[in-house]
Amino acid sequence: MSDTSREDARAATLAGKLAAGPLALGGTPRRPGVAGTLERYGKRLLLHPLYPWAGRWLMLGFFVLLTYSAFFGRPDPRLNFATVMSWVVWWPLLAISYLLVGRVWCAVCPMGALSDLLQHGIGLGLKAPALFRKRWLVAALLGVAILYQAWIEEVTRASVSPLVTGFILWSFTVGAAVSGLVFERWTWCRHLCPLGAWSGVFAMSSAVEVRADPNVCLASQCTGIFCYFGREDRPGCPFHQVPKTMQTNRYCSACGNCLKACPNDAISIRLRPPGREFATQSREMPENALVAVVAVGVVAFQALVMTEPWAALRQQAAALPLLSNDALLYGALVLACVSVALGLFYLASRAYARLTGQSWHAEMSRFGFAYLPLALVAHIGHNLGHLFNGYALVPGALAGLAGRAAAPAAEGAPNLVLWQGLEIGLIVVGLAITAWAIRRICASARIGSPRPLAALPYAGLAGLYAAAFIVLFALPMATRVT
Amino acid sequence: MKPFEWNARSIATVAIAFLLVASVGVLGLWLLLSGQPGTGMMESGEHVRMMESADHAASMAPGGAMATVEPTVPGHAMGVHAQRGVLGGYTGTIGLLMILLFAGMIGLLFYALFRERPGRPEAAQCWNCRRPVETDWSACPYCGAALAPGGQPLTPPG
Repeated sequence: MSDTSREDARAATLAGKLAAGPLALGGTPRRPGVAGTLERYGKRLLLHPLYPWAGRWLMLGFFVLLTYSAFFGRPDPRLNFATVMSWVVWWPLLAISYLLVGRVWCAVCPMGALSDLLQHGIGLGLKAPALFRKRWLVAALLGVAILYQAWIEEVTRASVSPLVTGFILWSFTVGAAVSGLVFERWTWCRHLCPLGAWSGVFAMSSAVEVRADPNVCLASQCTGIFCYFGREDRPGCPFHQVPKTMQTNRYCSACGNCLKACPNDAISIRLRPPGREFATQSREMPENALVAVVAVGVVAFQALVMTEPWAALRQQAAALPLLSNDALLYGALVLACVSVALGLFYLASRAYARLTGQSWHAEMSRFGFAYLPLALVAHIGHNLGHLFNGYALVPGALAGLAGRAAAPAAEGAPNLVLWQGLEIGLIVVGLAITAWAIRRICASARIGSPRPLAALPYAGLAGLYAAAFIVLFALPMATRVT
Repeated sequence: MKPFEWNARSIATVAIAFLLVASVGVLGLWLLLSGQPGTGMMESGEHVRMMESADHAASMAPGGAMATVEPTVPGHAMGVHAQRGVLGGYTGTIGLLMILLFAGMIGLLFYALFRERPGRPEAAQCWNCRRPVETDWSACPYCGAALAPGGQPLTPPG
C-alpha cells in the first residue's frame, strides 16, 4: 500500500470515529451515581473469568443433591430436600429474579451446564432445525410451553411428590443433554425448554439489560460481529443474538459471552425501568404481545387452584363424568383463565381502536406487553406467599438430606396480615408499572386524540386484572407441599 | 460450524443421545403400567396417612417437637386428590407425558439427523446487504437495515 493510500485509509477511519460522536471514542460511557456503580460492578461480574461457570458448578452440585433426594430421599414432601427446595424456595426466588436480573437463571442452570459440557466434549454441533424458526411454530411452542409448565404441576401434584419432581427433573435434563449432544449453542433453552419460555417472557420486564453501544461498534468499524460469532476461544451469544441490534431481553440470559468476546468494550449491563422495552420495540408481532396477556391468565390460574373456594368447586366437579379427570379439569380451567384474559384484552383493544381510529389488530400488538409487569408481580406475590408459608420446612429438609430423623415443622404464615398486605402492595406496584407502560406506548404511538381518554380502555383493563389478583390473594390459600 | 459426517465419534454421540431418550421412554412406560411406590401412594391416599402418622409420632415422642400440620384449605391435601387422574392417576399421568416427550425427542432426532442436511441455505437474508441474518433480528448487524420477520424490510425501500 502506498503512503498516500495509507494516509487516506487513516483519515477515513478518523472521520468515521468523529462522525460517530465524542461518546464513541473509547468504551461505553459510564453513568454517575449509584446506578453507575451498580452497572460497573455488574459488568465486572459478567467479565470475570469464573462467571458463569462458578455458579454453574455450584448449581450442578445442588442439582445432584436434588435428584438424589427426589429418587432416594424421604417420601414425606415436607422433609424431602427436592420438594422443599424446588417448590418452596427455588420457585419463588426464581420469580423474584425475573424482575431484578431477567432470565439470569438460564446462565447458571445446571441442565444448561450439562448440555454445554456434552456439547463441547462430543457434540455434533448441528444447526437447530429450520422448522424452529417458523413464526407460527415459535408462537405455538411458546404458548404450549407456558400452559404446560402451569398445568403439569397441578395435574401431577409434583409439589407433594418427590418422585414426580424427580421424573420432571430427569425429563428436562435428558432434553437439555440430548440437545447439547446434537445441536449447536443453546437450542434447548431457546426453543424447547418450558421453563425457558416462561423465563424469557418475564425477563422482558426486568430491571437490567445487556446491550451494546452502536456508536462504539461504528467507531471501531467492527465487522466481525464477535458478540454473535465469538472470538478465538470465547464463544458468542448462545441465544443467537446481537446486542447491538437487540431490542428485547427475551433471549438474553446475561451470560457474559458477548462482553468477553467483544474486543471494543462496546457492551455493558444497564439498569432500566422495568417494562421500558415495550415502548421501544420496532417489531410489533401480535403473538409476542398476546403472550403477555396469556401470562396474566396463567398466573391467575396458578393462584386460583390453591384457594379454598376452588377446593370446594373441585369436590363438586369430581361428581361430573369428564371433569372428574384432573388432566381435563385443570386443562379446561387454564384455558378458561387464558381465554377470559385474552377476551377482555380484545374488547379493550376494540374500544381503544374506536376511540383513536387505529386498527385494533395493530393496537393489540402494541399494548399487550404493558400487562406483563402486572402478571410478573402477581406471580412474585403468589410465590412469596408460599415462601413465607414454607421457609420453616428448610431445616427439616436439610436434616432429612443428611439422613437424620426430623419431625416436619408446621407450615403457615407467621403473620398472615403482613404477607397478604405485601402481596396486595406488590399488585399495586405492578399496576403502577403497567399504567406507566401504557402511557409510554401511547406516547410512542403518537395518536391524535387526547391521551387520557384514549388510554382509558387499556388502563381500565389493567385495573380489572389487578382487582382480580387482589381478590384471589385475599382468599385463604393452600400451602404448596401439603 | 462443524461439518456433520458419520464416523465413529458421531455414531457414539448419536447412540448416547438415543440411550438418554430411551431412558425417558422406558421410565414413562414403567410408570404408566405399574403403580410404583412413592407416586403410587398418592392414588390410595396412603401418603396423607403416612404424613399424619409422622406428625402423630412426633407429637407423642418424649421431648419431641410438638409439630402439627393443619392444611390451610381443608380437603386440599392428598386425600382429595386420591383416585383421580389419567390412566392410573398421577403416576400414569407423568408416565404418559414422559412417553410423549420420548416420542417428540425421537422424532426431532430423526428429523435433525436425516432431514436437515449441512449446507442448506440460511433461513433469512438481509434485504439490503444479502448477508445471512436470524429471523428474529430487528436490524441487520452488518449494514444496520431495519428488518421484519424473515429478513424483509420493515417498509419497502424506495
